[in-house]
Amino acid sequence: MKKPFLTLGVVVLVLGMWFMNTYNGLVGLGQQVDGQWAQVETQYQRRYDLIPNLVESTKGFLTQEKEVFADIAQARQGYAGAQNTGEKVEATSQMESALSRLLVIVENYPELKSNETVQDLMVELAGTENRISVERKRYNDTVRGYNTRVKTFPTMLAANMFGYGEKPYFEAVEAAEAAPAVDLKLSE
Amino acid sequence: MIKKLFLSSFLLLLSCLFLTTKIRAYDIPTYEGLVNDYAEVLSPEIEEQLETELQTTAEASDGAEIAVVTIANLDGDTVENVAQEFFDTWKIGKKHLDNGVLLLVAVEDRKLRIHTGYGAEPVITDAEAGRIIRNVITPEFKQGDYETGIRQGAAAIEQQFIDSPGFAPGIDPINQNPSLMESFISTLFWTLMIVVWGAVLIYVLSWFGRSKAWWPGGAVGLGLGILVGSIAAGIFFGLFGLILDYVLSKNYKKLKKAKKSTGWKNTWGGFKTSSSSSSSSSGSSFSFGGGSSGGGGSSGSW
Repeated sequence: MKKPFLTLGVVVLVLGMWFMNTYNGLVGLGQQVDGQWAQVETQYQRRYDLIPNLVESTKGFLTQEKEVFADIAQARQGYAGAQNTGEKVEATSQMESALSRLLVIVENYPELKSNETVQDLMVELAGTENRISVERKRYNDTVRGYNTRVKTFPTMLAANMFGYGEKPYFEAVEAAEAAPAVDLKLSE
Repeated sequence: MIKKLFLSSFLLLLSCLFLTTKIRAYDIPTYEGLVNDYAEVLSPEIEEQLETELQTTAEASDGAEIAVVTIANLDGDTVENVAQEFFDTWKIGKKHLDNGVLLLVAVEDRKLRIHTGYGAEPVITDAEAGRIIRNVITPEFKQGDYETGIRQGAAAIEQQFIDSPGFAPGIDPINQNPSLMESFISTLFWTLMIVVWGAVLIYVLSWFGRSKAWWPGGAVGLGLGILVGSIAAGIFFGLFGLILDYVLSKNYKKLKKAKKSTGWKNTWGGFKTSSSSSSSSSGSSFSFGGGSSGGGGSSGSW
């Protein structure tokens, strides 16, 4: 007589606990993704702050290379004025291509390459780029974990119910991925 | 029939969980100490001397963990990626302090890197790491003297820590107190947890033993597992509970049949019907403290 009720009670309890646990898990994972993106932005900011020093110390030597400095200034302004993540990512990739061109240009000026200040700044810049790529990779790993969780059965059911959708991966823009082309015309 | 189906799907799920494996580009070996000379460029005496020196630094409270690794080649990867892999796998540096530094030398590729943990970044900035590489290490490497380059490079890294007040080994009591307090509270918390849940467990176990059915243990285990963890934990606890209940119920029946006492005391909690224990000890060797790195440092070539 009592058994069906008992069974029903146990099933409801287990289901309830499962929903609670799944929901909490999703919230936690979502927070991790956001936190990791903040890490990426911290490194963007570091690069942003570094650029004026780099430009100042190299500008004097590179009087013919006005174009690259104009590009860097433009990208920096674009980053400062970016309203949302999409715009930020776009300005960032612009900056990346301009900076990698500058790095190549500096390689071609021996007197600049042997300058201790410029060398330090180049190392700092390379360090920032590496930090960005590390944090981005971690961001993508975190998103992968989250998306897998959201998309796989049975978490999928709870995720749909609570409105937890997929989160976007950071995808490297083609210009940022490709090796910078050496501008021979300018360096000769 | 249904029971069988149920059980086999359980097992299938469980085996699926173990099939997911990780793939990585560069195979990171397990470490032997702080100095790992895989490329064999250091003489045994120098290696031992360097190991002792670096261990002394690392074993001081809050001491920096400076790891030296030489490898033959990078296997086609970049020195930055490989250094990051080593750092992430070995977790160089003390946990929460993240004061690890890795000096990685890829001999055939003629590339090296000083890779810093999050906490070591202010002590050794990228520019400073770059200067150590340019002015201290690579001049020696260019002459083929890896031993001197590595020794002086490690010494320069250590010097950075000594020169930074607050990061030198064995000081900074302000930072130690909260962590002590924290560990005390967490120990207390877990002790209480174990006592409380232990009491609950004893009660539940005795009930399982008395109920002759073999399955409630599995159901309760499944519920508990899902509550504390995930589906995987649920399945694990479920199976565990199933086996536990099966054993206990069977023993209870056996004891009843033999008209023996089924009391808690006489049966070791229901596990004994008519006992053994083992312990293991491990030798003390160096192990990294669980630090992490955000990719700081500098690379160079010679």
